[in-house]
Amino acid sequence: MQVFLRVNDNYLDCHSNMIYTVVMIGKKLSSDLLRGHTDTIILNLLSDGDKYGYEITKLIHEKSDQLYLLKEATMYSSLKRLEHDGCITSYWGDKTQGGRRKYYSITPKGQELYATNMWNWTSAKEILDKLL
Amino acid sequence: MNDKLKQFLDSAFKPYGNFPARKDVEQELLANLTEKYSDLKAGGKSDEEAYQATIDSFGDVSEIMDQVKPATGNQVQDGRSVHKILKDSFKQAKRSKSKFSMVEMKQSDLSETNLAGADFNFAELRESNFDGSDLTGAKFRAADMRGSSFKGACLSGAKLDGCDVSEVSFTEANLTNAQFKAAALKGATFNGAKLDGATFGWSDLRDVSFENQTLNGTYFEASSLKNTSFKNAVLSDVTFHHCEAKHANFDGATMDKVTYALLKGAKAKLDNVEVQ
Repeated sequence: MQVFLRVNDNYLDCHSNMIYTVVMIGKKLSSDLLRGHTDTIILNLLSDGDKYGYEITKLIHEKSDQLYLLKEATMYSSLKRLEHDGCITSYWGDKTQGGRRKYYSITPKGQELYATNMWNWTSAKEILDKLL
Repeated sequence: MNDKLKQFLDSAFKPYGNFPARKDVEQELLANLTEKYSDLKAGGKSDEEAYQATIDSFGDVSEIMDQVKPATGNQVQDGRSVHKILKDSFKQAKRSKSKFSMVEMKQSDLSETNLAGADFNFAELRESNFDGSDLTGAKFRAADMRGSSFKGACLSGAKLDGCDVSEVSFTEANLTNAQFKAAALKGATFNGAKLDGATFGWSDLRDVSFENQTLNGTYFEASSLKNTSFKNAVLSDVTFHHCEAKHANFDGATMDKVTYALLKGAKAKLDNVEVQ
């Protein structure tokens, strides 16, 4: 538990300068705050089944009620990072009109990371809710 | 439309050269972008609107390159190695009838002289004076020019591959399209020099100052930039390919987006930089 608490300390530290950031800018959510969670969001989507790049962006857009449009480059770099760390694996799917789809699936290591990140988020949220 | 999106990706990745995974990366991204474009079209957007929205949503390519293995360098752009260039020019120099190649001319005074196209390959020119001379298209391959001076000289299109120009002054010189490959430039000075389209490849540029310079289309590849200063310089369309840009100084510099993205990918310190 001590380890988890330390993780949470760091987590709050890196958010402390954002505490005063206005989260809603017009109708768009502040994407800086969300970007840090891209890996976790992707892991969450992949735990429901294998998906390819555009499918992931599209689902994020839909599930956020059109409020969050993840940039292709941000998503792609997140996928490559997770793949490199062994949290997801990939395989080529069928050829489409444009190019070839590459599907990603979550590994046990990825599921573990998702659980840890969720735990961190829930506890940080609890604290931030009291402070903001 | 597929072609147009492919072109967009090709030009986005162009500055990074042919890194190993490029074909796979582009193929995957193209499938994503094409499907997005089709969806937007199906949603009632015009060709142009759908294309614009698709590329707007692409984001910053340098983010991708942070996660992808770069190309492994050491190949000259035109496919010839520096070694081969020098070997060939050595052969040429031996055969050449040029009165300057492979000669010893230490501490010569060749200032204010018309030497356009002259062939100084493999010449020993230490501490010589070329101030104000016309050296357009001159060849200085593997020449030893340590401590020489080229103040106000015109070296436009000159070939300086494999030469040693340590501590040489190029103050106010015109080096448009000049080519330095595998050159030693440590401590050379370029105050007020014109460096548009100049190439610096596989070269030692440590401690060189490009402060307050305007660099247009200048090309740096696989060069050492430790303590190289670009303070207050204006960089447009400048390429930094596989350069050790981490230890270069870009304080107060102004640059275009592509140059910025390339330097960011090379982990350069860009806190105090203005992007235009």
